[in-house]
Amino acid sequence: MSEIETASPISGTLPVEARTVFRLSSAIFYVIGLIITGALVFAAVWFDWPGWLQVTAYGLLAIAVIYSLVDIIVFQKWKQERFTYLVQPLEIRLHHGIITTHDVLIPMTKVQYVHAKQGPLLRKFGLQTITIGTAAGSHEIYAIEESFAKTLREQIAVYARIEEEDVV
Amino acid sequence: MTEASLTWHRLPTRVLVLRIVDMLKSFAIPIVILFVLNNDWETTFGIILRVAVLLFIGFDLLQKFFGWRNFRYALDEKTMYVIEGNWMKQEKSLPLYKIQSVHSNSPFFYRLLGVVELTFDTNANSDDASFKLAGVFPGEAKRLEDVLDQSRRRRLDASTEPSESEDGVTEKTVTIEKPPGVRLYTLSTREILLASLTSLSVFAIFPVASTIITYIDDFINLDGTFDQIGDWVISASVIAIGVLILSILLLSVVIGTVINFLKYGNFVLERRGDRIRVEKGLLNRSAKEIPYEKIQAIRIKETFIRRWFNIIGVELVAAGTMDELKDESSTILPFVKRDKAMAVLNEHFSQFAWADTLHRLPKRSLGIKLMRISWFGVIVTGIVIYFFREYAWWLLLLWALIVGGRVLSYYTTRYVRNETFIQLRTGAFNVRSFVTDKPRIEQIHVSQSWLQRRFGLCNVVLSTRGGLLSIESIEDIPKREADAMLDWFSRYPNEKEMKTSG
Repeated sequence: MSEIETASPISGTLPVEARTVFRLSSAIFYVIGLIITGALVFAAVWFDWPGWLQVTAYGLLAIAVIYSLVDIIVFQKWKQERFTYLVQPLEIRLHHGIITTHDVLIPMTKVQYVHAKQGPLLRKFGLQTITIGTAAGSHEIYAIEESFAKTLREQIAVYARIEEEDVV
Repeated sequence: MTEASLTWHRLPTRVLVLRIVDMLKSFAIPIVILFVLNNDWETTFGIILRVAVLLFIGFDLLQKFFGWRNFRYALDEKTMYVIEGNWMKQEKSLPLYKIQSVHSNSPFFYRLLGVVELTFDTNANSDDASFKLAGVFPGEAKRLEDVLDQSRRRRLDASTEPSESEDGVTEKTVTIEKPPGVRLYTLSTREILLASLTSLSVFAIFPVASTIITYIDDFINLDGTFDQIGDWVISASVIAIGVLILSILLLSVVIGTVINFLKYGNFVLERRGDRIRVEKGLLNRSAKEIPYEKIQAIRIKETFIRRWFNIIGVELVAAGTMDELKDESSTILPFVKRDKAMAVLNEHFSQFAWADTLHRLPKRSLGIKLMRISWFGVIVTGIVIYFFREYAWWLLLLWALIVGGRVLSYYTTRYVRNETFIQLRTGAFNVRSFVTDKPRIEQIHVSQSWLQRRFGLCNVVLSTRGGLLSIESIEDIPKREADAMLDWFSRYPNEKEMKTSG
């Protein structure tokens, strides 16, 4: 017990590859958005819609382009850089967020389960997302390196004294 | 399990009667339409429809009968067994130690026939977390509760060795005390009357009445009547109209009072050993129990009007109980004078201590609250000005409410924290206070928006184990205070590993 309590904390940020994953997954979303606004502009010009509608359509396209560029280039980078976690024997702290920042503190005794999951994008980069669940909800540590995710998950499970069968 | 060694019981025969009555009640409208109002056996379709309905009812009757016949339960010292199922026979067993509490519920018809419905609540969060005996005689209910009590006491006596509780918190509050219960509070007639008078629902009669009138108007042409009323209103004196409005209000007060009496009549709050028991209702009588150790937090609610009369409502936030229990029945004092309620709380719920003085928000919190754009207000204003310009005057009222609400929320929001407890007070027109202690908090979540960062303010969300209702948040408190809350909650004091950016 005391041995566990004095164990050194595990802290860190997300690996740089996570940034690529974030960028790719948001890019998919923005491509769809760009296609829709692009179609709008095309329709406005092709069917010769009234002038103000054309201007609106162009405006929307411009906003979509600028916002997706800013988001992909800057925000997704910040999202990766500004995510920090700290796993200590008695508690977990998460800090994340770009425009709105979030600080979460979960005592180890309240942790009910730790899951790991991996979509196709994450798998390609050898990353995993860890979900930490309590009675009050769940929190994610996105996109950390696979083998490290395994150790971290097992470590949290040990600290939280979760039975092996609960760790999926 | 050996079936022979146990004494198996069926639910009393009158439960079958109740179920059949219940079923007929739910079929009443189709039966009346098909067989009374429009008893037409001429067309083929009509015949098929009626035969089908009759067959369906007959089938349901058989189902009810066999359902009742095949349901049997038995009890030994440690376990409760149930056999049920018409097509698929199911045998269930429920260890008595898992049963957290027993709720009894007796709807009007059940009371007429002298049976009660028992719900056994376990601490599991799954579908089969609770378990029902739909109708037993009070004597049998008493016997079951006694068996449960005995098993509980045996377990407490034997709990010299560490028992299997989830965390250290639960053990601390368990006090071995012998039921019968101590009566903590009973609502008086005067309180129910006062509550009905101070309820905002008094004014609900106007929208309700207008809905009903337009609804009737669709079927019966009331135009003429309204014209007459209109003529009368124009010609009548102010006094007559005043009398009319007053009598309508009076009527709605009477209706509200009757509803409140039916709902809260004979309200009794009791303490039985390590559990809290709430009994209430005149026609439909229900009794709910909450184990002390499941209480996560206490919340006090004050509505806008009742605040002036110093009337408050108290509810318990409890963990791992049925949804039904979470909603309303965790209300332990629905509307009681503040000093009386606080006396009960301080005496019997002393594990949560209420502070006398709380910290107010700094001035800049008012600034940020007023600076935020109310999207709701902007959208409504846009729509009104564009489409209904003649009603634009009402926008003044809307904005007065929006701004007034924000100013009020600045004045009501308060917080305090000591070694063990944290207490939050939030709301604008309706005020709610929340108190819990450190070991029961599941997590603290501090968030700070871009605007708040400019003001050095942030929002804090506390969660306990009681599900959605247990989440309590406070807005625009100083960041320094929120960081102090995190430090307070942290098991590692005085460490600042996590640097916040920005």
